[in-house]
Formats: sequence, C-alpha cells, structure tokens
Amino acid sequence: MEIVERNLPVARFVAETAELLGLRLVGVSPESGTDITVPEVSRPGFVLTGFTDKYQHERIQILGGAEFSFLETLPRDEVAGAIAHLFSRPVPCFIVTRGQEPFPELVQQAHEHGVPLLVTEQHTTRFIRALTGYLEDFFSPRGNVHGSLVDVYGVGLLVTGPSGIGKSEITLDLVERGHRLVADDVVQLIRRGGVLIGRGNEFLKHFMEIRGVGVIDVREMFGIRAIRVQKRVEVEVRLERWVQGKHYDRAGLEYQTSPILGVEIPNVVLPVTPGKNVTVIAETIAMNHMLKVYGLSPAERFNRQVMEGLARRNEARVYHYLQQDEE
Amino acid sequence: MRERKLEVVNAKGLHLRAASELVKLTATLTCRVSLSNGIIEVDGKSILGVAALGAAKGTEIVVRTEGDGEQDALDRITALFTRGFYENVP
Repeated sequence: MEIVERNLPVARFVAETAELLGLRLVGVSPESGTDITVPEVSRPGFVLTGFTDKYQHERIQILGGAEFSFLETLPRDEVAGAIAHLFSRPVPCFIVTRGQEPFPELVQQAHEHGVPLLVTEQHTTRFIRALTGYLEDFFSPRGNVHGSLVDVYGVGLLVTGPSGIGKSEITLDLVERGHRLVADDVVQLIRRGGVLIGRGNEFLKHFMEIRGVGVIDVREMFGIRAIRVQKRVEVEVRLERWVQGKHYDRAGLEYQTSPILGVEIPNVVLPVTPGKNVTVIAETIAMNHMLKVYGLSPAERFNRQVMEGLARRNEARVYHYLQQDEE
Repeated sequence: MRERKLEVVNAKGLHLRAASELVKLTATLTCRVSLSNGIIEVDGKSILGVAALGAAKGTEIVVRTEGDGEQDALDRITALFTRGFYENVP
C-alpha cells in the first residue's frame, strides 16, 4: 500500500514542528491558512519590491534578515504598501526568523487576510534546513510491507514471503547471531530521495510472534544492542516454498531488482526446504552485497589481472624490437 | 479478489485476544487474507500484523480475500467481526 500526502494543513504543521523549529504563533489561528502543498520554501524579497510575477505563494514564506533589512530602508509610509504585495496571493503562512520583531503593518495585514504569522528564534539558514527536512519527510511516498527487516553486518535485509514460511524464525536466528532487528511482521517504508528507509510499526516496536511460543519482546530478551529503530533497505530476500523442477539461480548471486516505492531494490529468491540453513545464506547475501558496494567483483578483478599481464607483454615486445635497432 | 468493509464492534477493539481469534480462523484458510485501516495493510494471518492496525471499537477495516474459497472465507471473517470475536458486544 502506497500513500503520498499532498496536503499539509498549517495547524498540523505547527502542532508537529513547534518544538523542533521553535515556532511561536503571533495572532491569527493556524486553522485559517491555506494548506501547504509543496516541500519547498520561499524567501519573498523580490515580492516586497513589487515584482510579484514569480511569487511562489503556495510555499511557506520565510522573512529573514534580508527581507527585514530591506523594509527598514523604506520610508515609514511605504512599508505597508510593500508588505501588501505579500498578501496579493493566498499564502499558507509567514515565518519570521532570528526572533525579529514583526512590523506592526505585517501583524495587522496578516490579521486582515487571516494568514498565520509565526516567529522563531532560529537562524534563517539553519531554520530552512530543518524545515525542508521535515517537509520532504512529510511529502515522501510511504507504505508498508509484510516481512521483517534486519541489519545484517550493516546491510538492511528485507525478508519477505508468504505467511508461515518462517520469516520470523529466520529473523530470530539472525538476532541470536548478533544481528539487529528493525521490524518484524509489519515494516513501514518511506522513500527519502533515492533511498528506501524501513522502520517498525508504532504498536509493534520490537515485539515478535514465534509460532508455538507466542509474542516475545526482542529488546527485553536480547538487550538494546539487538535492535535498531530504522535502517536503509538494501536487499530483499524472498523466501519461497521449494517447487520441484522450478529453475533457481545457480550460477552465483546474480541480483534481479524490483521497485519498492519507486526505488530499485536487488532481490534474491530463496527456496526453503527442511533442514536448510537460511540464516547463513542470509549472512552470505549481506556480505556479497557489501563486496559489490565496496569493491570489484571477483570476475572483474581477475579480468584486470589478465589485462595487466597482456599490457606488460606488449611493452616487452617493443623494448626488444628497439634494442636490436642499430640505426 | 473479494473485498468488504467491516466495523470493529466489540468494546476492546482488535486487541491481542481478538486478533488471535481472527488468526485462528484465517490460518485455516488457503486463500490470502489482508486487512487495511486506510493507512497500513497487513497480513490477516499474522497476529502481530492484525494488532498493528490499532483498530479500536468503531474502526472500519477493509478485508480482502484472494484465492481458493475467497467468498466463503470473506463470509466467515464477516461473521466473526459481527460477533465481536466472541467478546461482549455492547
């Protein structure tokens, strides 16, 4: 299931970020602003001068040091007119940074147009960075899969497969061998840029169900080092029931990829048979992935050796040819 | 694929005991079962998955069945929801 949020009401934005961004509301209820629909912010310096052609009014508007310095250069009777340009289009909200005292004209016009006005003590650049981080998170595609996510040697393995195939048992086995559980059963996914991040469900945390035993708490049983809160998803391990006659990859661990929330994730299809040690294979998959990320594959390294050998032989031939050259 | 919107009617909602009643049924089914609360979609055969829906009394859950006997499966799941997972229905 994939969900992409498209509208962020200002009231929700303020409630969720007031602490992180140090926001303080100056008059006007946050209920009254138009919804935020994009993860970008705008600094409307040009708009204050009257150039409103490219006014990105759908964005959160940041009034920092530059905007305030400009207003201060204006004769007092022109300030209201400059600020009026800001309200020429519908805006979700205005945020004044660096704890600057908002101009009375700004407060008044915000009130008249019913646009929320907020103040933060934070420095403009740092503030925008934190704000953009929050907005990008909010507008990122998210979803959930049935499976478990384990950090194996630092590689995020997403174990999937039909119910009853033994995903939780393999996960528990991996945890027992010192790897770290991120989530079992329900993995919540979010795409940040080109990276897929997985974490546990808020209710499940690090509980697991082991058939025949019941619900266990991995954190309590194995300690804090056996868990982690979130992890990048790097390889999907698909467990399948063994089908007689079906072709499975034998040549090596040649990865296929398939998209999860639009991110191509390599996957390995693993047939499960009784007595097969899937845990060790899962560790091997993780290590193999790391080898590919960090360095050359064995085949490439071998090929490079052969090519270096050939090059040396060519040099030797030229050397011999020139040595006999008495001209 | 069959689909039906069902309401959680028992007072305690889909807590662990109710979830285990549901899973006791779905585990015997050959078709795939999934439950969704509009935010997350979980495997109907997993007790933790069902509990993860965080479905209190009054929550509407979309149940999907797919595969052998999907209609019969959906009817039996519906009956279980209506009876409040054998718990007291106010």
